Amino acid sequence: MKLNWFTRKGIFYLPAAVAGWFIFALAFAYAVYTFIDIDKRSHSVSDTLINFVFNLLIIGLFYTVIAYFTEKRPNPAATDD
Amino acid sequence: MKNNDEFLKQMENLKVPDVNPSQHQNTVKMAIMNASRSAALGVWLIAVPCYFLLCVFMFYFFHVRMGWFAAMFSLLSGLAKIPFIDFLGPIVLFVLPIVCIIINVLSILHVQVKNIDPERRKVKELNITIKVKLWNIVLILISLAIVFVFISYVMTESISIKS
Repeated sequence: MKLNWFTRKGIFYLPAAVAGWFIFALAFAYAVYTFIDIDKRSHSVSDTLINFVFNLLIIGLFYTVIAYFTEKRPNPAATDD
Repeated sequence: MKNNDEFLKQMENLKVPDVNPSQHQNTVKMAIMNASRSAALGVWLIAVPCYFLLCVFMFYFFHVRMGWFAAMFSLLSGLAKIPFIDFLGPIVLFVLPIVCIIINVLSILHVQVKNIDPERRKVKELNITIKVKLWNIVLILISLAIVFVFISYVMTESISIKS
């Protein structure tokens, strides 16, 4: 089954369909939630950022894995010699 | 007799196709996975281990005693104590680089086994072709380095605990 939910620009995946935008919004909302949650428990700005960078990379990884399997597949003969 | 001569003449005048043997070397060698897609995913797979190793090297080797780098260790050791996500540390530092190696190797490697002599079936030729894709090779090398560092850390830890 071909799913064209995302398109790839370099190492980043951009949404290209409603489902893609939904997943992007979900990931963004979760990132904001983790930032607020970490900020509540931290004692300084650097403490917030230290924990948030790790979480952001993990969220980015999950988002990219989903986008990898649901992206618009390029023509292998045209792109990958 | 006349027919035979005509036939021989016809056969002599037949145009033989001009075959260039060097052209037959150019075969399509498709890899299993797309190289650029694998590289894009590979960057994300090794982003967290690279960030962690950067913190380790800055803290212990370059003696940059900043709270930012020290906090990364406490973050990962804190993850190991939380019951349902205690597996996250080894996955991030070991499994993700291994996955990165696999997908990037599959995207640049082409393996072909073929018979070179039709009469002897056991005689076979193995052709391994590696496409020179810079980013895929760089990602494979970085992932191998991460796995090597992680394995050597685990080995030294187990040795020091025993002794």
